[in-house]
Amino acid sequence: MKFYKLASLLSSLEQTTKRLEMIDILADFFKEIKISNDFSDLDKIVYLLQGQLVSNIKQAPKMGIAEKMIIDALSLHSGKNKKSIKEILVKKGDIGVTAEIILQKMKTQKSLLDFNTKKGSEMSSLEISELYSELEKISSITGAGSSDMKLGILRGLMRNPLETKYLLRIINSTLRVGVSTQTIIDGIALGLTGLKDNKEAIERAFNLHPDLGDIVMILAKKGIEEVKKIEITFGIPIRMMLASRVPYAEIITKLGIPFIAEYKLDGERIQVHKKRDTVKLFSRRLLDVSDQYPDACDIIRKNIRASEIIFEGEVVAMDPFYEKMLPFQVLSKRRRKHDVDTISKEVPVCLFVFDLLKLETESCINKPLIERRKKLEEIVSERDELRLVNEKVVNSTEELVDYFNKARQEGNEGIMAKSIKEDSIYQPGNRGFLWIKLKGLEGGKLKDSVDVVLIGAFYGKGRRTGVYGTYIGGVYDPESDRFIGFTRFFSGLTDDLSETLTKDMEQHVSKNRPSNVICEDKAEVWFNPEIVVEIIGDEITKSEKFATLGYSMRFPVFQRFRPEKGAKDVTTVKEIRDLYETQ
Amino acid sequence: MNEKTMTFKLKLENSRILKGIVETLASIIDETEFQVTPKEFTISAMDPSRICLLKLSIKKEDFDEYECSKDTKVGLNLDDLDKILKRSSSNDSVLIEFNETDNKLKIKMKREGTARMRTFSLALLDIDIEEIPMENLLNIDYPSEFVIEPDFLVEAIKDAEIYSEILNIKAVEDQGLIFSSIGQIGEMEYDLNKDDLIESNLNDTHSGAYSLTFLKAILKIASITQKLKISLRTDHPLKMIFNILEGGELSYFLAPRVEEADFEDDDMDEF
Repeated sequence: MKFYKLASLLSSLEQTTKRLEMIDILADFFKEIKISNDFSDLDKIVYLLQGQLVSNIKQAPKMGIAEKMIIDALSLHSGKNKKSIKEILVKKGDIGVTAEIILQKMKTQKSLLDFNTKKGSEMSSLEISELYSELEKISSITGAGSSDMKLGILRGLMRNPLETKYLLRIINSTLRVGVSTQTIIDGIALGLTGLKDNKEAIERAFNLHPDLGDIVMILAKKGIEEVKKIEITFGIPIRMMLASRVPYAEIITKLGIPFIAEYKLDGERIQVHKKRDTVKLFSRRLLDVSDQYPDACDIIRKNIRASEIIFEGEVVAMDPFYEKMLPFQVLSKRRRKHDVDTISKEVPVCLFVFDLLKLETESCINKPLIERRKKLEEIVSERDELRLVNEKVVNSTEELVDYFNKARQEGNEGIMAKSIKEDSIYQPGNRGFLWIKLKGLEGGKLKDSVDVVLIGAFYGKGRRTGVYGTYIGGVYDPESDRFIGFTRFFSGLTDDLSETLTKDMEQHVSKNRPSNVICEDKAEVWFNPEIVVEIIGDEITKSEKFATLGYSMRFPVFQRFRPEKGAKDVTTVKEIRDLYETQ
Repeated sequence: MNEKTMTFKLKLENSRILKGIVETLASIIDETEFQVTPKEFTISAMDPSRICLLKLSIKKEDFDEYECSKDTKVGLNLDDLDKILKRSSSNDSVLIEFNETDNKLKIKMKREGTARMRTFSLALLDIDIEEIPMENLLNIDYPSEFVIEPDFLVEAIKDAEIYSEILNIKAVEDQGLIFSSIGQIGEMEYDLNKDDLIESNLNDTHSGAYSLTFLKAILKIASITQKLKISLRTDHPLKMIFNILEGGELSYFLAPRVEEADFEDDDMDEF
C-alpha cells in the first residue's frame, strides 16, 4: 500500500475526537483492504495506527536521528533555511506539522527516481514496505560518515507534505494518532468481519498474544475462527492481569470469605517462559529482560520440574545471605546493559513465584487460583533464589490488617488480596476485582500511592535555582489515549536527585505542550510523557485548576521512580475518580 | 600463473584529471565501485537521497597505459582515495593497479623526469550497490540544449551562493541563457546571449531551479574540461555532459526543485 493512503487515514482520524466516528473511519479503511485482498502491509498499518513501528512485544529499532538532522534534511528538501524552520517548529511544537507547512509553500527537491517512472514527472509516493526497508537501513548505519548517509536517505523519503508530516513523526518517535488500541480493535472487527461483536474475540486474542499485527493478519487471511484458536504460547508474553484498589474495609465484600492475601513485593514483576532448557523472562511492558537476570534464568532451568511452563513471579533484590529483601532501587542496578555478570554478583536476586499460566501443553488461565497455586507448589523446588511468595488464607478484616502490618514490617509494599472462588481465573490484560492491591490502611489519609507521568516542570528558586523545582504529574485516559494533568509536586526530591532528574529530563523536553497531553496548568517546560514516578499524598481533592480531570492531590510527595513502567501504565483517570469516591 | 593474476593496470601521465574526478565523486557519495573492462573505465555514483547521478567513462585509448584481462569491479571508499590522490602534484604520473589475489588497490605516483616512486595501497570494500534502472531518465527529451565554457557555470554558481541555496537556469529561444538567484538580501542575474554559447539549440522557454549544494560538486570538474553541454527542460532534471580527455565523458543529472501543486489545503496559517 502507498504510505500516502495511510497518511490520509491518520489525518482524518486526527480530525475527530469522537470514538464512534474513529471506529467508522477505521472500519471503512479495513473494509477496503479486505476487498482489495492485498494484505501485505496490513500488520505494519496496524502498528503505525498504534503509534509504533513494530508490535508491543518487540523492541523498536533505534534510528539515531536527532531533531537537528531532521531539520537539516527538511532544509535540504525545501530550500528553506534552518533558522526559519526552527522558528516554525517553536511556534507549532510538532515537527510533522512544521514539515507540512513548509513543504506546502516551498519548491521542493525532487528525486531522480521521480523522473524514472512511466508517468514522467508524477510524484512517486512511498510504499509502506519501502518506508520500512529504508528505516531499517537508517537504523543499521553506524560509524564515520553515517550521519550523511542517514540524512541522504531521510531526504529521499520526503515525497509530499502529508506523507512527510507523518514520516517525521515516526522518525522523531512522536507519532501519536490518538486512537486507543480498543478503538483500533473495534474498527478491525467491523471492517474485516462486518460484525462489531467480534471485537471480543480479537481482544481476547490480543491479551494472549499482544501483537495486533499478527492477529489482524490471521483474521484477514484465515478468518475469525482462527483468531479464536489463539492460545497462550511459549515465547510470547501474555498481557499481565492487574489489580484494582479499594479501601481495606471493603475488600471482604468484593472478594467474599475466605480469600488469600500475598505479600506485595518491592521488585519487578516477571513472566517466565520455560521450554526445556530455554528460559525467557518478560517485563510488565512485555519486553524480554532475560539478559538482566542470567542467574535467575539458570535457577529456573534447574529448579522447575516441568518441561514447558509459563508462570509469574516477582524478582526482588536480596542481601548476600538471602535473608533480607532490598528495595526496588537496588534491583534497578540490574538495568545496566553492560557488565551484567558483575552486577549479578553484587545484587543477588530471588524470584518469588505466585501464579501459573501454562503447564506442559495445558493453558491454566481459566482454572481457579487455588488450583493454579497448588500445581505451582508441586513444581517449584524452593531454595534461596527461588521461592513461592508468602501467602495466607484470610477470613476477616482483622486477619487482613494483621497480615498487612506484618508484610509492611518485613519491607513489602503491602499486600495483594485475591479471590479463590470458582471463577477466580487469570484475566490477561484486565484490571478486575478478582485481585485487589492494598498499599495503605490509614483511614482519611490517602496512603495508597499514585503513579504519574511527568508532563511539565517549573524552574526552582533559592537552593533549587537552575534545576526544576516543581513538576506536574499526569494520569492516563485510555479512552482518548491522552495524558491528563493531575497535580504539581515538589517535596520529597533531594538536591542530588533534583539535579540528576533535571539533566535526565532534558531529552524529554518538548517545545510546546505535546498534543497527547491535556493540562490547564501552564508549565514553564513541557515534557513528552515518558518518565513515570510514584507519589503519595493526603487525599484526592476536587480541583478547578486541573479542570479536565476535575481532581488533584493534597500534599503530594515524591516516592520513587518507576522505570519498569511505561507512560500508559500510570494510574488512570478512572482510578483517580474511584479513589476519590472511596476515600 | 603469476603474470595472469594481474587484473588491471591504468596509468595517466597527469594526475590532475583523476584527482578532480575523485574529489567530485567523493563530495556526492562515500563509497562506490570502479568498473574496469578491457575497453573502458567507468564509475557511476548516485547520492543517497537520489537527487544527483554521476556517470564517468574514460576509453582505454585515453590512458597512457591500460591493461585489463577481464571485467572487474572494485568497491572503494572515495574519501580515502581522494586523500591519497591529493598527495600527488600535478606533474606526477599516477598508476593504479589491482591484483585479484590482493584485496587492495595499489596507487603509484612518480614525479616527471625522476625515478622516485611512492606506492600507496587502499583496502577494497565489499559493497552492495543497488542497481537502479535509469532508462527513462536517460531517455528524457530535452528541447533546449547548449554548449558553454564550464567557467561560466562556475561563475554563476559562486554568484548565486551569495543569495540562496538555489540556482535558477532559464533558456529562451532566439535570446540566450539566464542564471539567477533570489534571496532576502537581494538578487543576481547572469545573462549570456547567443554569441556566448559555443553551440545552441533553444526551443521555447525552459527553466528549472536547482540546488547549489549539488551543483557545487562539479566545480572541480569544470577546471579540467573545456566544454560543457547542458540540456534543460522545465521542471525536469538538469543534464550536463563534460568532455574528459579525448573520448571520455562525465554525465551529470540533477533533479530539480518543483513547486508543489497537487496538495490542496487551506490551513496555511500565518505562513
